[in-house]
Amino acid sequence: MKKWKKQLSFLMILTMLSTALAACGTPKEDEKGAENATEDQSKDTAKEGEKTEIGDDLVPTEPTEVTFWHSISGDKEIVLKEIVDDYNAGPGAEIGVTVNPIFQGSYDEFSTKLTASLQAGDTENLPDLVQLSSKGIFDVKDSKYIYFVQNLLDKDPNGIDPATFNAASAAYCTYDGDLLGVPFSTSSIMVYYNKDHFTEAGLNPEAPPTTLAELADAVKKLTIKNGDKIERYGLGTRLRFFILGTWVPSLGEGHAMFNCENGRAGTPKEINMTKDGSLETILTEWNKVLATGGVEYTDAAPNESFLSGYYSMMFASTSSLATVLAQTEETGTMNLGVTEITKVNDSSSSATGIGGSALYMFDRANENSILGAWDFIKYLATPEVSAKWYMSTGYYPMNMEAMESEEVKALTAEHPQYEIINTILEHSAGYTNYTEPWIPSFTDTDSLVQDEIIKLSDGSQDIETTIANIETGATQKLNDYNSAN
Amino acid sequence: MNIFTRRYWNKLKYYFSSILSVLLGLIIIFPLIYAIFAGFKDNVNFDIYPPTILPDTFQLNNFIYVLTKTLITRYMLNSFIIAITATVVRLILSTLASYAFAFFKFKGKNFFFFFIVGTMMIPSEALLISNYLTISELGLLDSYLGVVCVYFVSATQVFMFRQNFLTISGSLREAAFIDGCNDLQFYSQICIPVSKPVITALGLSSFISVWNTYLWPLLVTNREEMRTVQVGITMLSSSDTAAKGHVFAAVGIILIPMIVLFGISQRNIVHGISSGSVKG
Repeated sequence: MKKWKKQLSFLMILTMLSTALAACGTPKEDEKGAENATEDQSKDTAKEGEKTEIGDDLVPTEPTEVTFWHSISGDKEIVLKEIVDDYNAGPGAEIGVTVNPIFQGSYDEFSTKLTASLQAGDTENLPDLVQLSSKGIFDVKDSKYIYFVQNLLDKDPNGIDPATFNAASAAYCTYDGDLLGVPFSTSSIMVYYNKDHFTEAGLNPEAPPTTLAELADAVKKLTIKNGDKIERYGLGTRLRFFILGTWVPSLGEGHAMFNCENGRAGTPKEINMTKDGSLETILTEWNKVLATGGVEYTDAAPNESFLSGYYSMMFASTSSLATVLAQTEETGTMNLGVTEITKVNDSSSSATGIGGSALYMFDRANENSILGAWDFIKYLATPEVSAKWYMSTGYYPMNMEAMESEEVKALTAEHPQYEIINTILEHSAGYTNYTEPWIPSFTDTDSLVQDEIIKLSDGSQDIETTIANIETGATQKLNDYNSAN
Repeated sequence: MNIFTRRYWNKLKYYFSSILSVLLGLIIIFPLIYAIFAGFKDNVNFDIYPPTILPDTFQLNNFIYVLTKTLITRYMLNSFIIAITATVVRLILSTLASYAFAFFKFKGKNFFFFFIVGTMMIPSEALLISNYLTISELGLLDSYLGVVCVYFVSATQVFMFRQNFLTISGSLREAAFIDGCNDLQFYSQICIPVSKPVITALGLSSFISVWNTYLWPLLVTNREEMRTVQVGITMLSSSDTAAKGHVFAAVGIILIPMIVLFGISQRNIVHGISSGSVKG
């Protein structure tokens, strides 16, 4: 009896070890290794499954409607609709393609909906083209319905030259070595600051802080306290994945949030940043900023408070640039300053990571809709359309040639704030592993990390506990997913 | 002496509770008041810290924008159709079911009743995907029926009506039957009129909850002209803009039907809430 127990525990340890040592498996490798490969359709993965054959002339043979699901709302949606209308009236009409853009709620709601549609296998109601966040793409990247854009890039001689993409943005939507999507709505995190407050506080508005230690100093000077009540916060921001996606790799070679190249080489099996000291370094520096008492560290969407002057600085996406700028100019409430995301310390790199979302295609077993969607993507990738999208949002242009266009140059001359995009691009050239991770339970893990850091911020736990909790929680979520799949 | 103090106390209690109610009412209604005024603000006014309640000038740009540049009227029509259909069908089904649970004797009655009431414990989020699959397989995506049919049965209402019907005494039913009344007549001529306050209260709360649902209609519709008001409002809003004048204007517009409905049936609601679930 005892012997039997021993053997059992030995077996258990073995299985635990083997899962711990498992390399990044992309679905096709996992399949080979799977002992009980069923005839389940879900095994029919993106790369291996039956794909709709694409003919050589690459033009739809009959009038086609392309369904485009997205999460773009507010002012940006108006711009997107203009672009779609221009396409439908021009190049689309020539080959009989009509694009129908449909708003499907926030990234997370959209993701719920898409997962349901895919489970239903209801190709009739699937979209042809989708704009997905890091969470959204993780959930469907191995689906048999997803269609690698790489297929068309390889096939279409008059298609898109991948060299015109921003390399880091392209790396963001590359999976298993091939382009899974196109970088239509990728962005970076940066610092927005109120120049008037800087001047008022005796800081040089033209020399914003570059490291977290300097940031701490600036926050201290910018914060206005009235007794115990804070009347103005020096900084309003919550530490999100989007920010850590830059800070962790910036600490140098070998630092990453998760293994498996942050999910670009397969589903991550482990959280890295808690083990390689990155998080410890970051939180130690971040603590200096928190110690000033002038950080509103719970605000996940600081734009409004920043614009009202309640915060002097905020960390926000480059994709807010157009709206924030328009707003500050219309209201005349402040001179807006922008600068790159604060570096962790002097020795960390000046590169900024990529987050946001991208466009992906679905294969609905209909050659015409694939070609229609592809034609629309090609239209979005023209320098003119890329420039328009960039100028009215702040998302990186899909086609980097747009940065050289007359309109963009004129805009940058008129609003020097746009120069920051060039600076970020310049400093980030050659750094393609600075990406928002693709992991299971993205939203939950992101919230877990945020919540733990908030607990650290309000003084209810120390750095060590924070890191330990993040590691335990994130590992649990990864293991749950990996053992179930 | 004794009587005087009791009277005095009662008066004091009455005044005190009135003042408390008014205060609570103000606190609860404050966001609505703020939202309606905010609809009149221009972007400059929006960005002021500390925030103000009243706009500097009442300007109608936001309302004009919402009414002309968006499909809000269509969204409102959709929401209205869905909410009204759901409410009416719900009331009919749940009153009939409750009648059976209250007056009939059949095998497994209690089991079935608790089975229905037990579904109240399942969060609707847990059913989202499976409901979607069902609707999708029935080919009802993008149709009013697809959106509305998940709201046809409400366990809460079955429970409330059953409790309410139990207050009607069995001997009354026996007497009615001796006079040649049948079940349908008893249901329609006695039970329904007696339950009017409960019907109003539950009907209204069901109308409002369906009117306010967001995720389900978003899931099962794919055409802009099938969307409901809540989805429409989300479309107007975006996380990077601070000026949410359009959103508040839209909120103000879609509040109108709610406020009107409340005004009409306010008396009945209060009565219904305080009498509905008590078995007296």
